[in-house]
Amino acid sequence: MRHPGRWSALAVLAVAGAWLLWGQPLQTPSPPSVSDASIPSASPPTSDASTSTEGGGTNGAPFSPAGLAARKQQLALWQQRYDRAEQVYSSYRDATRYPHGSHPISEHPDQVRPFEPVSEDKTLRDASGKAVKGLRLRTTQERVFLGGTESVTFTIEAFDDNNKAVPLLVHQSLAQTIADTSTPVTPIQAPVPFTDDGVGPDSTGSDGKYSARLSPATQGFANHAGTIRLLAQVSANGEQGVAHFDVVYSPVVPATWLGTREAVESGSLNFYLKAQVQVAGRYVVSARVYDGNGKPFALLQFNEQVAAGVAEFKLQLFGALLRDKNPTFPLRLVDVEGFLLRPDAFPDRSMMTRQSGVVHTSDRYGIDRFSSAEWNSEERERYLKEYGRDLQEALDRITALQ
Amino acid sequence: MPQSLRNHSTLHPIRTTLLTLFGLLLVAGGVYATNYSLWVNGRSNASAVAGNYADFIYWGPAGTAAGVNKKSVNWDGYNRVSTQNYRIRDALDCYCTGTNWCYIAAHSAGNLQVGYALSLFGGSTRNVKNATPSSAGTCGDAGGTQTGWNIKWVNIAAGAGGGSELSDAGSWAVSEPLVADLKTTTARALYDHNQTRAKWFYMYAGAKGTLYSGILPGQDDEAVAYHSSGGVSGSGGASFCNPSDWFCNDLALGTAANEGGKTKWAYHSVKFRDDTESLNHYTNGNWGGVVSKVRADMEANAR
Repeated sequence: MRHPGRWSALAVLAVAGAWLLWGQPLQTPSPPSVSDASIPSASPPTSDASTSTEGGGTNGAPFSPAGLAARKQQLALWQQRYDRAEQVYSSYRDATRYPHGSHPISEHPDQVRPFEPVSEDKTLRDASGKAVKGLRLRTTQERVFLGGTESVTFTIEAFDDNNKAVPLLVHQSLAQTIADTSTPVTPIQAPVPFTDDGVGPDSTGSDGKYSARLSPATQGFANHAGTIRLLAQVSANGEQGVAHFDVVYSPVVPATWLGTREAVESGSLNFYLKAQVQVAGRYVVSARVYDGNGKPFALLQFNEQVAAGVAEFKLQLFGALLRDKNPTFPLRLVDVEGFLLRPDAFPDRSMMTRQSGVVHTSDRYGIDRFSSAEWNSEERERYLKEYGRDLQEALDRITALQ
Repeated sequence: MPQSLRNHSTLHPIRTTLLTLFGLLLVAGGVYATNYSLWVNGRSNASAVAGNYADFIYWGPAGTAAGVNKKSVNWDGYNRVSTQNYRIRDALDCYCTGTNWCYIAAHSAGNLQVGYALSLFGGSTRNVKNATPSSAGTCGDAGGTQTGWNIKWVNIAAGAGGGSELSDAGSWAVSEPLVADLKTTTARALYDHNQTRAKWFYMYAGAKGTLYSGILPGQDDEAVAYHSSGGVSGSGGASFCNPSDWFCNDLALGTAANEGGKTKWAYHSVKFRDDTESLNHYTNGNWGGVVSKVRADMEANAR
């Protein structure tokens, strides 16, 4: 049974019938906006019944003033559709020259250095959430998701509106679990002191930047899977406020890394990250590739089902990408992160241990070892066919209207 | 003979032939492609019936034109993105596999839902479905499998893909699981926002925000700031504004890097920037706010 399709066909039939009987030019539900060339106008909501299709207009004969105006509107609309279809088609074609898991890292600008602390500037707020004027907090947190015995470092600094450092005091800081339920649950709590003494997590003493480290496995959270929220009560310039950090912790480490090897296969350079997989499921792994000059140029991603046992996560550095970028060898595989994706659950991932820095250095290869052939797949063909059809239709309609 | 009648008479055999062809098309029902427009809601959708694709209560009157064969992908707008994402994947399986293709419109936290589905599940093997949903919102197998879904493009109204500063304690209920996902650091770390599998996300950003202007950086629509609704890559907290504001970096239209150099996520393009500060975050029960812009685009181009 394919009722939706039948109803669509009936709608098409009705439209075509109306067109054939009255011989009117095609009409569109909403003309392009004059004030905003990039988008159609925000016409008042119209009902599905009155505007469900094109071709039902009654603005006059094709060469009447009204008919010509309608035709002009049509042309503008189809030109707009053509522009979008052309962007969609050509960008998809170009992007899928390489498989989705093997792309220039310039397309993933915030994935270049995944292990750098997440830094944010935010207005200082009091305990009720009200903004304190003239004071901002600059915070960092080393990571958002962590697992097993991993720890996370946080920092806080205060600035005024002129970006001048303001002396800060951290009065109290407490980490506690956040339950994803309205049912009362006794939270797990632990103090996580911020210091500015150059000891432990604090890299430089008395610089106005306070640091703290949370190690869930050793601070009472070893059996907690979920959000841990760190609240720090601070004051600056006599104003009280709160800094607020969330991390998502999963005690289970689903797989452990065992090593890396490489192979040139079918014109591509493949890196195989070996792992002992304790928990089967969908694993999401990414790694950066740096060229011989230390410049990052590719992001490799893996997202597949993996069985328990010893497994190899294959990260493909696609041949055409190598040919196009022609990097200096040897290449370096850098900053590998991975997790087990747990669909429909929270936390939705169990983290593998980060592999920070250079994980593997490749051999040196002549560029002609790699294939310049572009990627192909059923998915790509399906998309190019459909996008191409949309593009051709828009072109045909424009031609007919001109 | 009047011109209209003369034409009518002359065209008659052609009309007859075409009508016959359309009739044959109907008889052959099921072998042709159907396009759908999926609408993915944001935060707070308690009144909708999850799995009922005809329930548009989140958006406005269900009879409003909003793209071809429109379907409302109702998730609860309350729980974690990860625990509700199956609702989005169910809809994508139903309507966007086999010969069927989809246009997607999403609002606010619906941005996170769509981005999460495409980034983390967009390359997974899907069963081709028959576009006939059960009351639970799942469809029967039509036979065969495919990689990922068939998606033409995605329109995002007031996107919260980059989170909102209002999710910090004090502005929204901290007991709400979704609010924790909307924290800027968490939302931005949830998945690789650049990995859309080369599908375009057209971003519509509103700026009629005053209530939380002390908390939301730069221009905002009263719930999300431009750094999120404009699909700006990197950390949250950065201020982006309309060109009329000389003291704040501009959110650039299209795919261009923003003033100050911050880039957008890949395959994210700002289609609408609210230079007149006239649209806020809320649908107001009638496809209102920034959603009005997306609705108009869907009506015109999702066909």
